[in-house]
Amino acid sequence: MPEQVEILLCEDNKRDADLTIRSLRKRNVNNNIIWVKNGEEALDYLFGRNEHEGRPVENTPTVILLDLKMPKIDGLGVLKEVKKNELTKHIPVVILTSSEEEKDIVQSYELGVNSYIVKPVDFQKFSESISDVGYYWTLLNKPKK
Amino acid sequence: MNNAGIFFEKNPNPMWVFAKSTLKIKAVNKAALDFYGYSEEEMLSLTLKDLRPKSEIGKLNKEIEKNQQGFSNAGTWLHQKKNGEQLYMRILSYPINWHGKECKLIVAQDLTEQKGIEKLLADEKEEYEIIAQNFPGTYYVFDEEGDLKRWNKKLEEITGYTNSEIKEMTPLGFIALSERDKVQDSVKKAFNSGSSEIESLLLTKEGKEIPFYFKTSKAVLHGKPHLIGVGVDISPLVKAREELKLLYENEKAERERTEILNNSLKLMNKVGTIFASENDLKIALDKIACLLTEDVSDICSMYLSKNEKLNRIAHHAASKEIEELAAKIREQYPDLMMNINLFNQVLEKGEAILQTDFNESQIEDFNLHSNPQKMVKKLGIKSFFLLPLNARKKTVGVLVLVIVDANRQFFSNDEYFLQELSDKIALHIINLEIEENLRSLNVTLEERVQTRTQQLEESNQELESFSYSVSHDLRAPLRAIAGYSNLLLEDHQQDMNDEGKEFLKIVHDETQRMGELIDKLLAFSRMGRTEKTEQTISMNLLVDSSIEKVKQSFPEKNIHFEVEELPEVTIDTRLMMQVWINLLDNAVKYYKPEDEPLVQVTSQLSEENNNIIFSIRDFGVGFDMKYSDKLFGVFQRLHSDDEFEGTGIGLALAQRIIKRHGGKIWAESEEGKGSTFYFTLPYK
Repeated sequence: MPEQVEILLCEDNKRDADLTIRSLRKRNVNNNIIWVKNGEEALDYLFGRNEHEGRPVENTPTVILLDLKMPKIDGLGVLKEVKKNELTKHIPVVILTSSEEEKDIVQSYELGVNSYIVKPVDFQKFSESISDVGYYWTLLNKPKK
Repeated sequence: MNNAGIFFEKNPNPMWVFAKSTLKIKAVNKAALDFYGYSEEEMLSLTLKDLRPKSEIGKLNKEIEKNQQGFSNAGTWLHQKKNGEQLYMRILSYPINWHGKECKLIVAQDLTEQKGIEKLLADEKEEYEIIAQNFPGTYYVFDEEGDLKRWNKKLEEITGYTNSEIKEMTPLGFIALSERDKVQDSVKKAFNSGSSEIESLLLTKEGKEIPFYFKTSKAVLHGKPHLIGVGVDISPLVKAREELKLLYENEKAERERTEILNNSLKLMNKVGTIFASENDLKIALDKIACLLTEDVSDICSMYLSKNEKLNRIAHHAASKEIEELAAKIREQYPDLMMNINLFNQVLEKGEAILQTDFNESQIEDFNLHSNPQKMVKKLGIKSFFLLPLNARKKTVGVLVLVIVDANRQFFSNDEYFLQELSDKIALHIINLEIEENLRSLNVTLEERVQTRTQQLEESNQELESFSYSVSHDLRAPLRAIAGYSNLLLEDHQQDMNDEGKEFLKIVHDETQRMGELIDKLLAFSRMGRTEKTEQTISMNLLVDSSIEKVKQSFPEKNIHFEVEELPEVTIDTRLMMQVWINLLDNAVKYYKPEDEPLVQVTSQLSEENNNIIFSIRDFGVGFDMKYSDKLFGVFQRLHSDDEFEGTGIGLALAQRIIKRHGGKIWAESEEGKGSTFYFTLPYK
């Protein structure tokens, strides 16, 4: 596991977020987990807006864990923005679904989601899912911008 | 011999001399001897009497008495020859003095031939007489003055006049008075042209008139033109003629009746055509009204009764004037019809009223006020026919036919045919009503169906959303319970005793189970919502994929799958995968833990060749067929969780999917031996 990995977790449910973070931490994922509670904040972070103003936006997170149901802007909304924007579209996105069915719904949007994990996030599944992405490792091997 | 001697001797006619007093023959010539067949001696010994047959002697004596005074011509006498042959002789006698005696000189001439001719003539005459008298008709001869010269007995017999009466009559007297001029002309014609014939009436003495046929032709009798005619009693002929005439008239009447009937049929046909070709009932009825004013009456109107009112639905008049009059009446007195009793009568009783020979005074019966009455009078109604429009035991209206033309009339045939027509019209009207009712009912039904469907859809939607949100929202806390209880197990082992750990494990397991239940429930509910997307695919591909998944679920088991070659199917791949996974899962699951599962998948075509039957056979624990109907119920299980885990929704889901594909699913089993699950898919 590379050293500097930044995970942007977008999850409105406290419990779900907590379990995810614990799961990841337990496995000593030496990571920086940034937790945002809604879609708007997710985008603010990514593009350095409002409370995240001043953040160097070129320092994009290594992976985005995206929950679907969030207040203000929901997961798909965030996804759309991410994939639209030059700055962010290369970032692997892992959708957190609460069921297999949800996965189907999302797939129909054809928004170029990289991976899905059904909550609760099982670390094993998590890393499998990340490895599915493929180029995560490549990115890690490249010097971070 | 001197001349006198030659004259006597050589005379070819028999001659003799006899004494007046004694009648003795004194001298005789050769011709006499030859003729009578005597010798001279014999003949000189005879008297006159000997020359006569015995039957004539009486006559002779009388003659002699008469002739004492003297005569010159003796006439015709029947003489007898020596051989007995009798013949007529013409006797010429002359008184002479013969040797001092008074004698007669006789010259005799054989009249046989003459007599023969005379007899012939007499016979012929008799024959003609008989023929004439027995002529099978009358015959008559008369001249230009009208003098009847000859006629036969038949004339007397038939007319009853006597011979003497007829003598005094003229031909016209035998003719019936009414015919005399005609016959007179015929007679004239006959005298002019030579012939004529005429049929007339013979008048008998009693005054009876007999049909007779007279044929006359002109002939000249004694230098004067006469008409010779024949009359034949033609009474039987006349009778036959009359009968024929009657027959002909009957036939004509029959033909006319048939024609009328034909016309009625044609009319009905036309009406039928109008009804068949015209969609709009009102237009059809107007056309029919027009038709009726051509063939039947001068005015035709149809009224429907609705709510105590009579509404006119069709109308036609034969001429413009009538139309205008009728229109005026209608304009000023639109409710005229209601006031006329006759209409109500027709409506109530449902029977027709036919009035021929309508006369003006009958308008009083209509109970109209003076003004409308005047206008109606103006129409000049000659006859009318009110027919009820009957259908389904109701009288829905009236068909009014009016004739104003004196030359037109309703025929007796019309009644039957017009009633049929009215019934037909009524039927159409009723049918239309029914149709309209149906239509509006349909519309209402449609609307209701739409509303219901909408309601159902909404209800369905609600249900779907409900189950969706239930399962979704239920999941969130479930995740927390599962997650934290897991963490507890992982991170706080040392804080708990065995029992505590045990409890926590149970909590965790149950949350897992709940999650599964929710998942399955969600999947089941989604089944109704999702669109089925079909593709044609080899079933083997699906089965193989499903087998892979199932193998993953039971990593510890060593499963043997035997799959036959399966046909291509057109199905929703995703849904059908679910079915296979569920069925194969079950097939593998329901084994004793120590046994190695064997699952056989086969297929065959159904008997009727319209379905493919797939079968999944296992040799596991099986189930009691007694409970087979519970197999496919939601959350129904035939085993407890201790025996085999499961949610009880897998088969329900499979059934739902199979049903959606138009198939059936069922199972057979024997406890301890295993089970076979079958499902069908339509074979295309």
